[in-house]
Amino acid sequence: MNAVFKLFLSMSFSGGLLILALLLGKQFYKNKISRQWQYYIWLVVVLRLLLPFGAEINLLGKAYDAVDHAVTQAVPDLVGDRFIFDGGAEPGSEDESGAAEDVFIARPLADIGELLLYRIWLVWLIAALGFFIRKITIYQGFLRYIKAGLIPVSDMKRLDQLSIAAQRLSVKKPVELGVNPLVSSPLLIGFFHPCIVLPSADIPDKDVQYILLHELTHYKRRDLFYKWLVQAVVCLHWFHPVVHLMSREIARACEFSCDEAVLAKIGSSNAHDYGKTLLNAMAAVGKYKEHLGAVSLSEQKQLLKERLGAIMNFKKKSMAVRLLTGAMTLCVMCGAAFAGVYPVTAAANHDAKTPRASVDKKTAQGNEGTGSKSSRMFRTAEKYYEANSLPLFQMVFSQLDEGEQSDWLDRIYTDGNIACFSTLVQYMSQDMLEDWLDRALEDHQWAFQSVLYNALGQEEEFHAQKTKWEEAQAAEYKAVGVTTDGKNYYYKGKLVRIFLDVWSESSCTLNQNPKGTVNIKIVRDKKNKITGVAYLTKAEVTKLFGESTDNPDGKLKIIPVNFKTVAAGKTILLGEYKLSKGDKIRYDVFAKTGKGMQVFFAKDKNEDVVYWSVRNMRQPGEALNCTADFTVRRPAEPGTYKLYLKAADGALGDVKGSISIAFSDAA
Amino acid sequence: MVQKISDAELEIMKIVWGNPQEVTLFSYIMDGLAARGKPCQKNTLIVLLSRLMNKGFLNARKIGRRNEYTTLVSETEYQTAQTKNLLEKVYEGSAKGLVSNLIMGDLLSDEEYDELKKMLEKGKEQL
Repeated sequence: MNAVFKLFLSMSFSGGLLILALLLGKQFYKNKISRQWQYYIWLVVVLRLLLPFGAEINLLGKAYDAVDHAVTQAVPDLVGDRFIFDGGAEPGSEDESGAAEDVFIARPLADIGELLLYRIWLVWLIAALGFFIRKITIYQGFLRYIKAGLIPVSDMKRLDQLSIAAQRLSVKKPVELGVNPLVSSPLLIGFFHPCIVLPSADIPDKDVQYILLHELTHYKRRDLFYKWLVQAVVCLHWFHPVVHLMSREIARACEFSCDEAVLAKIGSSNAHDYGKTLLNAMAAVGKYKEHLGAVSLSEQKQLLKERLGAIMNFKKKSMAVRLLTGAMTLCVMCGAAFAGVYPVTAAANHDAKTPRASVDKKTAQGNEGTGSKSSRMFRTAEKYYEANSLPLFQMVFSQLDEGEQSDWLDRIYTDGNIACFSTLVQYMSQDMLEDWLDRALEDHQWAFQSVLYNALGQEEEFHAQKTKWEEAQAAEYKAVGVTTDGKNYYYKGKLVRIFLDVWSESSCTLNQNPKGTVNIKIVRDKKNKITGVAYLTKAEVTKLFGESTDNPDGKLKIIPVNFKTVAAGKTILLGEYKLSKGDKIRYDVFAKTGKGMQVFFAKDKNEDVVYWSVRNMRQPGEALNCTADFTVRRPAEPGTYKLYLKAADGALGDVKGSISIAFSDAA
Repeated sequence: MVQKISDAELEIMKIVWGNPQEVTLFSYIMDGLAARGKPCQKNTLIVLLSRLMNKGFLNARKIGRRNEYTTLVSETEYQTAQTKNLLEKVYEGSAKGLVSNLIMGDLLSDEEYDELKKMLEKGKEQL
């Protein structure tokens, strides 16, 4: 739902830009081009505000990417949620409790912001509905008011006048004619059974003729529908002041263009008389101000003045003006298409987060509703989860009821927090495990599958599945010219540096090899069939990592780890790195054999004090790994650190994976 | 309760009542109005007919592209209703007042007077 709201905001924004452009432009074209055009061009804008479609490439998509980066800092990079390990190592549990001096700071502010973001669509929707219902009731009240005192005109002459006017405008549907002394100016009501209401029966014939022509023109052009379409847009975009401005502008343009259409019919020689009628009609203004939804002959005094001016200056538009009009229409339409909306694919990425919103909602409900022990528990769980304090979270989790547990699992799964998930497996029933396995299989979430197969005691099954899938995948890649040896990808004989294959909305394969020379991506069609290979553009690479990877020693450093064996108790230096505030560190290291492994940073000549350390022991039946994300910040001082990998308990075998450092701009 | 209708509408009703046929066609009314020296536009007649239908005086049956109109209120029903209305409004329910006014105002011809007298006596015998 939040994705829908974001989409909507982007529509609102791009629509707002269009409106401003048109309002500014109006100063120049106001008297030069057709009023009809000035009226109907708004339809493009209205559709822009209502329809969530846009051209593929658009301005806002770019802008939104930037905004998203800011909003979802909590999820530092794309790689985070989507990394698929191809080294054959099994991602498993991570136990933070063993870490010696972890630098971890919760992110409460970001979370409150997120929570608000998730709820705001509800506020928006309720308000929009409220406004619309209010508009409708006001209109109904107005109709009742009009109809109560409505006296049908029975004067044959008047009715004949109406018939003649209707014929002139080729209006087929019979139109009712009534008099209600309570209305201030002539108006038209009724979508399907139109009725023209005159303020008095005692109006000179000539005036009546013009009034009828005017109102019938409104009916013929379906102005009432247009008006209500605009009202709907205003209600949906109620928070957008420019949209309200637009609605006023459309109401004005509606009258102008209607005048123009009438004058085109009766000939400009009658312009003077028509203007007079307008003035007469205004004489009685001011009884019932509310004209919402009805199309009246004259709405406001200052508008009247302008209309009179326009009427007197009425003339047929020249060819040049018409050409100009055509060109402008095209411009506005292109503007509407390319100002665009938040791209749908990007929105889809965010769908993945929606379940989390539901958890938040549940949290809130719990808070309001029971206020009992259980909701306190839920909040406590929240706190521990935010602080990434797994053992404590585990304890609280076991106390929660089943519904809350499943909410939490949902959230953890969506967050991709495999470490946390794996510790909770023990609290899940056989059925639950199987359900989750189905989901993980569907999403190709290997890490989760591994954990779940493990818990179900079907490890063999997992390997069989994975191998089968990998073989099928390799065959598919080969068909488009990409070969792989399990770790590295080759395309046209060249080693691939960045390999990207997005195979569903929420997951992808991303492989990096700093030694590679080409960046490629797999192209899939709508049915998810591989159709080809394309080179990644610079922009795409930037989008993928948030920063440039052109220089392997620059913004993103990937330190591959690949040791056949590490002797017991031995510490291996993996290099020295200058770290500064905001840098992001990610460990993804796995050991096939061995009991304990530690990955950490330490300052030169002071190896006893470790930073960003992850030290894990092999749990029975689980894989040994060190996976974690850190951000360099206080109390750790920026400076030069050495990166180490240590065989903490006995020898390690087949240590594989990588450690990546994303240097922030401050570096 | 028979609703009030405007003069124009009454004009149409009279034509429909006067039609010897069971159903009345649009063109028949159109011609009738012209014959009565009150020609009108097609749309005007459509509007008036739809008002009469709304008031429950007429019923329209659509057959193909033409409407067949039948009356729901007979001429006598209408007259009775209107007379009652007149009685209540002008004579405060006193029929005597109405009749005496008819006689005193020389609004009755001699033949009419005799006929009415016979009707009255017949009515008495029936009671």
